[in-house]
Amino acid sequence: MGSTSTFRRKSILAAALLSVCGVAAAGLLPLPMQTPLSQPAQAAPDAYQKAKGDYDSKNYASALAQFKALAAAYPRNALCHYYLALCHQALGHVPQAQQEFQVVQQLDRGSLGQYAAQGMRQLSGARSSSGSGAITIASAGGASSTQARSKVRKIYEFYADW
Amino acid sequence: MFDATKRQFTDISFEQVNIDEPSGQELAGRYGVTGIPRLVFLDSSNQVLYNGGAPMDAESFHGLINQHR
Repeated sequence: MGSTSTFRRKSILAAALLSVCGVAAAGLLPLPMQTPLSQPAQAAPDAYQKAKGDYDSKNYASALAQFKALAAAYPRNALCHYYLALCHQALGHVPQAQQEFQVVQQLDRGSLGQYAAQGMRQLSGARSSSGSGAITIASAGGASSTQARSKVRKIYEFYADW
Repeated sequence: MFDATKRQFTDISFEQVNIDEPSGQELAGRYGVTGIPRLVFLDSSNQVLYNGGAPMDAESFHGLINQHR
């Protein structure tokens, strides 16, 4: 029981701390303000922390493998599936990310499910990357998508001082 | 990484946008930028080709650009 509550507390703390940054490390989605308390993992705090550490360090492939193992062990833990989705998203695996976001929505009707819904909306119209580590969105920012292949002429990089 | 890539792809205009500045906020609003770092690729008609996270290394950044060239 102690292990379970510790894992739960650590999950909450980790998500809360990361949410202060406003966005996930992938730069695509906000992290949850709350963890799915209805679906805590039974144990595995060390594995979770290691997986989350790799995600935080942007080692998405490694984090993905670890969260897959965690999700297999705790299939009803929405947080594991959410991180799985974020890992897939960061790696450009759009269909897999969408699938995991759907799982999160099924498992959690609260804030995490809402974030997953936001992820689904963000991925709509996206196509898979072949491993560039990013997601390609064919239509965004109100622009219409065209079948004709256009060439990039301008690139904006958005940043902040802080 | 951005400057090095800028030098390599001379046919593309690169611009860094500070979202803390008014002009940056206007652009961020136009493209729905809510998190950073963020990249937006435009074609010659200012149609958005890509709007998403920034790769963490130059090789991935170049690969992403080449997908849209």
